[in-house]
Amino acid sequence: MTTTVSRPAATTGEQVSDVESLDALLVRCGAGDVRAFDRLYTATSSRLYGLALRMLRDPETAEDVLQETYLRIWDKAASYDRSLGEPLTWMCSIARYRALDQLRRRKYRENAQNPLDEEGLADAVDGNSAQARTDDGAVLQRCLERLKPEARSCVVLAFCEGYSHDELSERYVTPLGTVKSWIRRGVASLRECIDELA
Amino acid sequence: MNSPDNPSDRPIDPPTDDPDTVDMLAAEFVLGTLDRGARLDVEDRRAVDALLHERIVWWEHRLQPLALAVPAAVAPPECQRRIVRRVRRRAAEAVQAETHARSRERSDRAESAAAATATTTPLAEDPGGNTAGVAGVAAAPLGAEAIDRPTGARRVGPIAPTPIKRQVDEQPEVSRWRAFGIAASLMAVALGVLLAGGAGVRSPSADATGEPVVAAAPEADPATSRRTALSLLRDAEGQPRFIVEIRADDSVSITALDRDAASLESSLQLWMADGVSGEVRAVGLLPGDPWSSIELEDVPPVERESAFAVSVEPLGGSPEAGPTGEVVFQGTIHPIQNE
Repeated sequence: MTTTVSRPAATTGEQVSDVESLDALLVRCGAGDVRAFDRLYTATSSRLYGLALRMLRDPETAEDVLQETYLRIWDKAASYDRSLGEPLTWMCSIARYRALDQLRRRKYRENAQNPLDEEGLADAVDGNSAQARTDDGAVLQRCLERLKPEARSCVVLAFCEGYSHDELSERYVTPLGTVKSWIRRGVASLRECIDELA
Repeated sequence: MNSPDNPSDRPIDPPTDDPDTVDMLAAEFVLGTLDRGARLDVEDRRAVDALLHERIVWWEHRLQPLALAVPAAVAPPECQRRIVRRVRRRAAEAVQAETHARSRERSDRAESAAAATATTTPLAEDPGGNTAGVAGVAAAPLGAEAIDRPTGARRVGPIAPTPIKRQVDEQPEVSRWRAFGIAASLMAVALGVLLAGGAGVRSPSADATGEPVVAAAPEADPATSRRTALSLLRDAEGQPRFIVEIRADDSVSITALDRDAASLESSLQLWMADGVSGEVRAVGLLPGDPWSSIELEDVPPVERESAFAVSVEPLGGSPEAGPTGEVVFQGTIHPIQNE
């Protein structure tokens, strides 16, 4: 399996002009500027909704998560700074964590009998593997490729689809402890590789 | 960082000084493999654990390309409308809360100053030696300010129209009032439907319970209730929110079209803008009751191309002669040719 990851720069804030960055919009949101919020939503919502939909597989619940996410973004915009990460990363994280809350609270997994797998994700992503060594996407891609297949699958399914340890254990018909071990070894390898290449 | 009260069944409970374990916890938090209880625990701990927070941010950044690899999807338009509406509501509430806080602070300062003045030895404060006058002059401006500001007189009784031509040069917001006429043709279509239907506006309730500035609409008098102009106020998404009617006796009636609009009303102020001169006048505050009408008197003369607009203002109305907050609803005024 080859998991390709796209460059952040190619998809980050593509609808926001250079002049009006996501940082600037967040600053304006923090000052109570609803119009800036409108623009921020327009520039980023497809990315966040895509994530929520991918994890929850249910449009209605994904819309609820999207609403919770943007209300939190609005509430927290005044205290946002780069120490929390880049704007879109910060926003995506809020959306993912909200979606995870939904999944964990409701033990929610629609279409559990027909789950998307990591191959499906690999087919869906933007395959651009010829990127600079220092590019975040290229680095992650190369490091994922170095992982053992089972560890790579678990990392991708957990991050992109919200799979828990139990769900991964069930999916791979493997003891829970083994799955946890795969993930921990995979995470350790990822960190080592990223430190080496980044 | 080790939390002694952490439940033993939590998957990871790293010691404070073990960076590798902290890093693993951060990675699993970001991946999402922790159970809900452990997630909440990490969220609490990252607020007080700089290393954990730093590693979480690191992993979020490093794994972000995976998030961007997930195909984007467009949420339904109504989702955006709902979210923006809620954000507007929060923005209005924040303005109210801030205004309340400032008013309280101002009142407290005024009381403190008055008390301090009353206990001050006049001879020590007054180089002119007018002991009686000093106390009075010192206390009066502070007291007057506390009364005049948003929680004071502006909250009681109809707001008198305020000619503010001087605002044209002083406030950049004025330029946007001139742009209201652009949407006139669209408004005309919507108003045509409303007028043809006659009952397109929901019946107002008689028991207005909102701010004291509103009064229940009286029984209609055919001679004076003849409508001379209409305006449909829309929000930024183009959704109709209020009907504003001007009658032959120059009174103005405002009716909310839905509860969402009304939920913002207590902090919203209606303005009339001359589309040609740019003059802006306060007309009144919108009601708190979703189904009520309000009636205001002594409105400015209506000119073709004039417009109504509603801005978010501190509770009780703008402290200035013109709008100080964002214009959230607006609509062109359409004179009616009565036979």
